[in-house]
Amino acid sequence: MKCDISVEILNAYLDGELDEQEHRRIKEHIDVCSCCQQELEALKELDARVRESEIHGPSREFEFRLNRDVMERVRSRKRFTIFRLAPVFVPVAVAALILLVVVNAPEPERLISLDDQVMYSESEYRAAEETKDLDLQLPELAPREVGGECRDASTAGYAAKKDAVPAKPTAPVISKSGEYLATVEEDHTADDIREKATNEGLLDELEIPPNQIVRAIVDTSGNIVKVATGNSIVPETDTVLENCLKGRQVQIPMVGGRRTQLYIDFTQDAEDSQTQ
Amino acid sequence: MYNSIESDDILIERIKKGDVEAFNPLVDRYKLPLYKVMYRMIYNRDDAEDLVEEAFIKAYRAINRFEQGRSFFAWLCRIAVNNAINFMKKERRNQTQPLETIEYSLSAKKGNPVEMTKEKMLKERITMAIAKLPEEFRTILVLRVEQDFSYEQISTILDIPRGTVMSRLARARQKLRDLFNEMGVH
Repeated sequence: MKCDISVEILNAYLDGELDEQEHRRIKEHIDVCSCCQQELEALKELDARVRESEIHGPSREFEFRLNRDVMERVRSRKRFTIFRLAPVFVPVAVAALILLVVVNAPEPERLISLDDQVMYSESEYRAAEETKDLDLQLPELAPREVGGECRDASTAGYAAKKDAVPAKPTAPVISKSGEYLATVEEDHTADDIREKATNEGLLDELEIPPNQIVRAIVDTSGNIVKVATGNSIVPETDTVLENCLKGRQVQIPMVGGRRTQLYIDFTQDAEDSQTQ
Repeated sequence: MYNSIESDDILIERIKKGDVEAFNPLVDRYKLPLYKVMYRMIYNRDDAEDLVEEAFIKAYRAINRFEQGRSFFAWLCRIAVNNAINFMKKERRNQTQPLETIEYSLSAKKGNPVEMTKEKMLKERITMAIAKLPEEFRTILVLRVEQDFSYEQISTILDIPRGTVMSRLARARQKLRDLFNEMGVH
């Protein structure tokens, strides 16, 4: 082309891609430019040849098969859409199910341990007794011969301490965070231990201060499994006393009609100590 | 169930609402035009047929992203062309002369010149010349000249600026003219 009309513009003119003003301007030019007229005719002929050119048509099967194959695939896709979304929904559903179970699960019964705080209050005990909301069978220590290896100083010391106090201390209320769990009367247990220790002459072998805390845990079978002593709220395990008392059978503790682990306190209360 | 006069937009609206069967008329309507585009790009019948099928499946999967009021065929072509370009990259077919072009050429030489009319020979040469064009020129020529897409639509299909469409199309035509001259197409 020897004029100032670019090839791109002439192509765009042929394709009808110029705006109205530009199209008019090019047309006016082409009308008077033989070079551009020839170029335009050549492009038109080229396009015509492209349109006339032959290609290998699709196979016969293609025309019949394509619709069937495509539709089968899109139908099956819709059918299994929910399964394809499974990677997203399944974890969500499982999480929701777990949350539902956890929320609705009954609070597990927590066993009383040495770390739990034990509170004593006669008035609270009486209040609890009046409400009758506790089905309690008091554990009763079964009398057992204190063996040679078991009749140790701790029992004797404890017995010595108990000798100095009234025989029937106020029954304590064992509670955790102010909630009543069980009441215990330790008369038989204390008397039994004291009596045996006294008879065997071991009373003076161990001194336990009057305000010493002595506690034991009775399991659901009625066995004493842990014994602890000390002055703090959380007493330490006393292995000597524990070896003596461990394994002794008491009546199976029942709370609310069910067997339960029970926390028994053998300590005399403050009132008793004062009387001492 | 669906007649052929229902517009693309109506059919697509039904597909979006879950009516799978509304996709069938669209497949019927565009399978041959799409095959032509694919064949021009690939120059292999089996591959072109496979690419057409894949393009329809991909279009169905993405149908919710289709904007009503626009050309479904242009949108379908964009999917198909991208698919074909990836296919060619994988097969490295754009570096070699399409197999069927060579076969076409050989068959032309083997044919009886007496039986072969002048017109038929000319068409074969034209087809061979187009096949010899670089893939990007072939594709843009097919989209514009055969399928009559506007520059704007070609710009969308090939994901190139409109100015690039103009220049590439001009160069493609010039290149084809050169090939015609080389091959004696007058």
